Amino acid sequence: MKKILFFPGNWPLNTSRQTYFEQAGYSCAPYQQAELATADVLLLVTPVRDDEGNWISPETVWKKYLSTHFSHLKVIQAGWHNEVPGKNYLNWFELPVNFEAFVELASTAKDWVPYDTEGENLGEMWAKFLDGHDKLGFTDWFNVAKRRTILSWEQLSQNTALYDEILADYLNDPDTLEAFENIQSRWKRYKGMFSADPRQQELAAFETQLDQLKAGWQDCDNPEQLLERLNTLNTAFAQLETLKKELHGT
Amino acid sequence: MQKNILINWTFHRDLRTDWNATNTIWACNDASYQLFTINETEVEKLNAAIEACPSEGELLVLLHKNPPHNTTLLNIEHLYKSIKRTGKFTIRLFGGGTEPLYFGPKSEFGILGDRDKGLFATSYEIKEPAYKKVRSTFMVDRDSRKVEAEHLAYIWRNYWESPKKTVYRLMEDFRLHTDGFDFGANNSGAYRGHLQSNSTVWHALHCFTGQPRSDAPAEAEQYALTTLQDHLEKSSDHQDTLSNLQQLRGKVSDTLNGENIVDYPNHVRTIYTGMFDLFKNIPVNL
Repeated sequence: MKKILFFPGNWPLNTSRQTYFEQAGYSCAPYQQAELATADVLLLVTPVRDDEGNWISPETVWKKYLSTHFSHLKVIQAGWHNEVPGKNYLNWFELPVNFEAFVELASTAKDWVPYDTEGENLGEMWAKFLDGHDKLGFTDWFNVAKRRTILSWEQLSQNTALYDEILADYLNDPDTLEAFENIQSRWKRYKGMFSADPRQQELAAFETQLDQLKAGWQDCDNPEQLLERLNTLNTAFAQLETLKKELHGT
Repeated sequence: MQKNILINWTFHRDLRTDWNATNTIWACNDASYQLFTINETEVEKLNAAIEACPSEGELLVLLHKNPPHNTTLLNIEHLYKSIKRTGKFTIRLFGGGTEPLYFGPKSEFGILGDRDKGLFATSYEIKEPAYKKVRSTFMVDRDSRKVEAEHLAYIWRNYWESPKKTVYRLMEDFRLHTDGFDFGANNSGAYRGHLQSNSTVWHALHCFTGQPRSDAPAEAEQYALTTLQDHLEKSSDHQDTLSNLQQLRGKVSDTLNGENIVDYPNHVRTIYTGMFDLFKNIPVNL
C-alpha cells in the first residue's frame, strides 16, 4: 500500500474518507517529519489552528522546505473551496472518482503552486519573529546578547578585565539582561504559530538550545565558573545561529 | 497584558491627554486598561502622540476618519511602518456616530457623545417607539479622571480585531467543528451536538446570527460584527455584501436550530462558501 501523510496530524479523517483512500490503495498516517522520505503523498489540510486560536497559512514554508528536500513528493491540499485552485487541490465535497489518477496528475513538490488559504502567513510570521518592527526582533536581541557574551568571554579568558568589572559593565548591564529576556519572550510569543511548520525536528533543536540561553551568571561565584557559563552560552549562540539560518535563511 | 487605547477625535480641550501632565491620564478601575484622548489634525503630531503612549503592552489606535481629522489619514500605511513598538498595535478608523465607539441605543458601553462639543456621552434619549432615557456609566468622576473599565473592554473587543479577521476565524472554526467527522448525511443532531460541545464556537455563531445566548461570554460579542454591519449599511458599494451577511445569518440560525435543512453536509458547505465570499468582500482597511 502507498502511504499518505496528513497534516495537521490531529485533523479528523472520518470512516468514509479513510475507506476512499484505502480503496485507492493508500494508507493514511498523521504527519511525522521523519516519515517524509518514505511517503508517497503529503496531504495538507490548511489553514492550521494554533493553540491560541490563530489560523496559520503555512503553504509557502512547506513549498520551500519540500521542494528543497523532498522535491519528488506529491503534495495535495485539501479543503472546502469551490473554486479549483489547481490540480493539487482536493475538494472534500467533490472527491475524484479515481484518486490514483488524481495523484498521478498532481504536481510534485518541485512544481507545486501552493494555494494560499489567506490566514496568517507563516513565512511572514518568521520574518516578524526574527526582524520585528524597526529592528526590535529576535535577531537584534540575539545579536546584542551574543556580542556582550563574546566580549565578556574574551576579556575574562585573556585577563584584560576583572571579574567584577565584566559583571558590572557587560553582563549585568540592563541592556544585556533585557536582550536575554526578550530573546525568550519573543520565542514564547511566536512558538505556537510555528506548530504549522514542517520542520518540527529543527524547531525542537532550536528550543533546546534556547533553553540554554538564559543569563545564569548570577549563580557563578568565581571567574572559572563564569567562564564555563560563558562557554555554554557561546556554544548555544553558535548552534542557534546555524538553526536560524536553516529555518529562515538569515 | 496592558491594554492601551488612544482615540483621536474632537475631544474638548479639558478632556485631552496632556503628555506632560500625568493627572490627565484616564484612570480605570481595571488597571490593565488605559485611555489616551487626543485631538490632532496633523500627521506629525499624531505620530508624536502615538510614540508618547506607554511602550509596554498592546496599543489600539482609534482614528476619527472624518473632517477635521481626515487629513491625518493620508499616510496611514506610513503610520503603520513608522510606529516603533515592541508590543502589538493596531490602527482602526471610525466615524459617523453609530458604531460601537459611540454611546447609543445599540451600544450602551460606547463612550463618545456629541462630536461638536467633543464630550464623552452622558445620556441618550430614544423617543420612538417608546420613550427611553439611557445614562452612560462610563465616567465615574470627571475631575479625578476616573472611568469604568467595562466600557474600554467593550471597545477593545469591538475594535482590536478587524471584521475581516473575525469572519475568517469564524469561517475556519466552523469548518474545524464540522469537517471530517462521522456524522452521517442527515444527522443534524450530530452536527449541532458537536458545535454545541465547543462553547466558544457555539456562542460565536449565536452572536453572529444576532441572537446571543444569555450566558454568552463578553468575548463572543465581536462576532455580532456590529462595525461591519454599520459600514455596509452606510456604503452603497457594498449592498451585495450586506445581503450576503443577512442570508448567512439566516442559514447559521437554521444550523443552530436544526431547521429547514435537508442535506446537512451541503448546508454547512454553503455556509462556509458564503463566509468565504463575505471575507473576500470586506474592505481590508475596515
